[in-house]
Amino acid sequence: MNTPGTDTEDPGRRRRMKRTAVMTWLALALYAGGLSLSVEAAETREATAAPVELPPMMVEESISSAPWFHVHVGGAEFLSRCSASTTRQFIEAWLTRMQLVRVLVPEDFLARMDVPTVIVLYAQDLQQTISAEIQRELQAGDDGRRDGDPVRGSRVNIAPNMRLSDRDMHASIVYIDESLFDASTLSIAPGHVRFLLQGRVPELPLWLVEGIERTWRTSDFVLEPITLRPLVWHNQDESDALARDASRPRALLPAAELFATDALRAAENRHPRRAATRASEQDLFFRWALVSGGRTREALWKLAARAAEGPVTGEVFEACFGFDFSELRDRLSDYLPKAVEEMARIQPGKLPPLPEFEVERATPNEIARVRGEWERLAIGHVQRRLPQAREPYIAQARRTLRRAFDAGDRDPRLLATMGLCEIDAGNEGGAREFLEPAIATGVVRPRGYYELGRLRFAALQRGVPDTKLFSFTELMPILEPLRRALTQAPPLPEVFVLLAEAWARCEMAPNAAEFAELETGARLFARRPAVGLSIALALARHGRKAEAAAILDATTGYTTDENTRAGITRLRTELAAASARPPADQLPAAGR
Amino acid sequence: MCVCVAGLLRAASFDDRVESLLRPPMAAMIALSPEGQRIAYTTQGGRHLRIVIMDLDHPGPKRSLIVDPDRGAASPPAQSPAQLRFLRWATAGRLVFAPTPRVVPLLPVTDQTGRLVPNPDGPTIVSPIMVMDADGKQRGTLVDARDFMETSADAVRTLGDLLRTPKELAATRKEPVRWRMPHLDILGFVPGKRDQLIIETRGGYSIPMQHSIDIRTGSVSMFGGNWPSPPGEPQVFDWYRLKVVGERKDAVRPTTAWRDDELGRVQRELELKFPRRVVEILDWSETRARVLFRVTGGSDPGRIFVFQRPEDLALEILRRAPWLNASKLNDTRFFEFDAPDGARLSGYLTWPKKTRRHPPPLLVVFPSGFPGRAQPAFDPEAQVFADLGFVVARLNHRGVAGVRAEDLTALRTAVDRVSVDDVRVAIEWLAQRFGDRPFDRKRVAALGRGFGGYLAVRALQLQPDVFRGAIAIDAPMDLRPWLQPRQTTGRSAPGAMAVRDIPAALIDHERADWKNLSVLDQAEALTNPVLLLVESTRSPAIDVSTAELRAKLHAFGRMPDYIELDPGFTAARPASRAAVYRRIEEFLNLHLDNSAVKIGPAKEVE
Repeated sequence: MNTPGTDTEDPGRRRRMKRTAVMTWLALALYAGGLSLSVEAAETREATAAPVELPPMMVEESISSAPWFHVHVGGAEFLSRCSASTTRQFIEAWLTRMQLVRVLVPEDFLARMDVPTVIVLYAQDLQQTISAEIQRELQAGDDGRRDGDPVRGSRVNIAPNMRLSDRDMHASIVYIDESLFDASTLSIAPGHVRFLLQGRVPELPLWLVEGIERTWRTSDFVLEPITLRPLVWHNQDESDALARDASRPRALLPAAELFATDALRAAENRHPRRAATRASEQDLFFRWALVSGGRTREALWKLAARAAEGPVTGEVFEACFGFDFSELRDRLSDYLPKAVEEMARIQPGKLPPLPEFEVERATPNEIARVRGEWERLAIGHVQRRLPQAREPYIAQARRTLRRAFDAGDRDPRLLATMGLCEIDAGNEGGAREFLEPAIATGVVRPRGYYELGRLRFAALQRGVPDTKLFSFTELMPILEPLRRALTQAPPLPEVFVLLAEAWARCEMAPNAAEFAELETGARLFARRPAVGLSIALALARHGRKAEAAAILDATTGYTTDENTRAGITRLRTELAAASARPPADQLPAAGR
Repeated sequence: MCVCVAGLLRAASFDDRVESLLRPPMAAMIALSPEGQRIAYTTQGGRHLRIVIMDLDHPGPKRSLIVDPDRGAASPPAQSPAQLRFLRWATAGRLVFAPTPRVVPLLPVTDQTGRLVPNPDGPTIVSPIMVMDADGKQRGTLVDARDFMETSADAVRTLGDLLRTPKELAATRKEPVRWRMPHLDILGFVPGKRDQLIIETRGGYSIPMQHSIDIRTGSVSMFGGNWPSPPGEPQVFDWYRLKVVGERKDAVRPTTAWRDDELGRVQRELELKFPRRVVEILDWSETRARVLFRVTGGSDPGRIFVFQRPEDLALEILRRAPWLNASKLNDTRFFEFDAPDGARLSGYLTWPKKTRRHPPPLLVVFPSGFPGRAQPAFDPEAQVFADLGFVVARLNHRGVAGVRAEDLTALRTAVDRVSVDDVRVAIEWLAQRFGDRPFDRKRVAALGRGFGGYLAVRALQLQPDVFRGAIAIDAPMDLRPWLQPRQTTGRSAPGAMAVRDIPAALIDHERADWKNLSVLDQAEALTNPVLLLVESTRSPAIDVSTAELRAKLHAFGRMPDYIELDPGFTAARPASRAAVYRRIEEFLNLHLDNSAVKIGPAKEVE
């Protein structure tokens, strides 16, 4: 991989760029601002009483004669109802921008998903963002609940562009006005970058995710990639003042507080100025490390890797950067006036050539499977946002998927999606008939393996006491798909939890490799005490008390819910009591 | 020609670097206003001392005031700028400050016999107490010693005389009226009425008296109370609660023993925020919602912060030496460890940012006293030598935080051997502890001033395999005449003695083996190169012993390098210092850089 370099701009050029950059950002908002508009963004809007945004629903094939194109390249499946040339331009822009993402953030720190990303492109001039069925359903609901119902006229919007995600994959839909489309203005939305960072396993600390996302927001990836625009410290006025007077007083969080664990952050002072300082400083730290280049940039990623697996102490930091926490605070403070003043360039270096691909007419299977995947994802979103509008989305997804199935298509990917669709629709009983054959053929679908293991485990436990232990043979059908899920990306925390619960009910102890598998889960999801607790319970159950205690210790510093906290305390107490007792063979024999 | 130009440029750049490193840091004095919104601090610019006022809540252009504007023009160039003895905010908007008083003796007068005799009046005391508004609109002298000038009791003959000023009194008399000016001590502000400043006059004709001065009008009134004098260092005084709240301790690193629980808590909080640094609380607002503090350590010359406690934010107010580019300062780290005999050894290690050879040579700097004061976290000279490519180890003596009883015998017998041995142990420890940042064990030199210079040369005599060269600055080569100056006949000017930061009784006792302690008496053991730098006439003992050592080494055919220092070196004048540092560099390059270290006659430089 090429090592990107950095340089800085002359002030005149900076001013020119600033003007142009603003225009570009507006253009992006028009053409592609929602390329990967995040669900999180939509949720934020709802919190401020904005209209509920529903995923767009594509019209039935029979209604529109426009052809679908399909491309599978760069870890993504594109299903497009735009022209072939627009589709090609879009895909090339997407692949290029994703290369730039990887210039800023090495591949190792982005979510890895073996299930291809789904991107559906839809021409805006088709003028049909919502199917007639759904329009009718919504209308009916609106008529029936005139008063005080949120499903009313202006309260519901159909988002033109949206990204929806599942545990093991994500999908986006983009509406494109082909008459205005300019692929060169496309950019990856900050929310999507955040999604990619948050999906990384082991999970990255919040200070890094937020710092990168904020830096991304003010960076230019279009005109002169990659240009970091001047940092905004608290607000533009404060930034301008700092740029004018480098000696202006400023407060920075000490490094120990900047890198605080989730638990410490939850308990820290909530003063707005402190919160603003944290947000700005996370950005400042990432930018400083990036712009300093060379060894500092390497140190950043070394630190990021360490921070994903445990708290950042002064020693950890110094081992990466070669200087201490206090020195970092000073360096950031000294860099701040420069950061608010200057643009910095990250030279992308020579990017690898884009992979070859052909834009081809989509087969009915591809249309049904990819569309069906998007529509399945919409069910979960609508369930969370507007449960009363859920049914038409379920029906639409089933219709689309069934079309291929009924035509004899038994593609394991289709079957897996159909199984997950039934689960998302609340029909768990109907899911296994699709998941069983899909998993039997080794489909790439981590969540599919998890769901099948879960359903099988639920069936095994049905009607038996909670304390009953099962034989290894009985548990094999549960353990087997879960262990196969671990061979696919991303590793899912729920897989480890279920695996630990299954082992905890097993008469036989796991072997060394199986113990190691569980411990891997604790390491990968150190920031999730609930995962650690389940694994610790399984280890303790099979006599690995020291290992169990170590896993519980590693959860310190991470926030969790009351139940998990109570569970951790209880298990700690039991482990401590057990270690205080002499081993059974050293106990004095009764009656001797 | 190109080489010459490059050499000149390098020399100029080195001179600039030395100047910037030696420039006095800002905020030698600093005060936080009662409500914590403003600070005022001192800074030296050229020959002037300035007071700068900064608004923390609405930072904008800073206001500054030259403390003593007449001083620059009137005083000789070598004279240092005025200093302050008092700087505090009376109210949110008004600052009170006082330059260090100047006592100007009057010219002698001729008596009746025509002989010159000391002037019976005076001396003139210039001791202004000044005020300045935060907005800079009003500023000036509130009172001065002349406002409290007193006449002798016999000059007051009538009730009306009591009301006359000395000048008025003199106008009514044919014979001269004797007068004196008192010193003015500032005691503080009246709690709840902070526009009332309390001062005490002393040294005039009358007994010490306390006065209240209205800082808005300058009107003076007698103050009936018996206001206590605020204690000076090392006590820490709370000017709002009028009590001692802590005491500064000069340990291995400066600390404060707080008697006030709240300040103790704040100190601990701040130390968590600035790990491995020295945090010194300097001042606080009336409610203590804001606390002013200084942070030193690492490679940084120090920064000043205000801890905004409600927000839990440490606001950086200023860097004490903003003209120094932090990224160009050489990395410095504090270290401490236990020697094999259990003694705690400590110091600072500075690594060069750029090395000329790998691994770089090591320069060990001995403290100038014994046990002396702890080495400061930031040392401009260590930066200079690191710039020249040396790893610089500045060591504290064992016992810098208090001599252990079990060390006393060894120290009384052989303070030189104990110190040199400690340095040898420290070198071993540093080599192991910082294996990833090695220094060249074959190229180790020692440097010191005064007693430290003596130790540097002793190190060369006692451990010639460890030390390849030594630089001694104004160092005695024989301790006895240095510690017993009356027995020495010298040519130095009175009062020109160098300061000795050493308890003489530790060495100078009836069982002292002076011969064993003397560099001179063991001159034949001095086989490695040595550079002696002396400002002659400051100490006869040093001058004489240096001359004798040179003569002896000359006789052995090992003439040491010698540099006569000018007074500018001791006064830390950049040009003088830079010239000497270059000579030291030449010496070290000549004797350390060559793979075969030359020992023997070297050229004498004058």
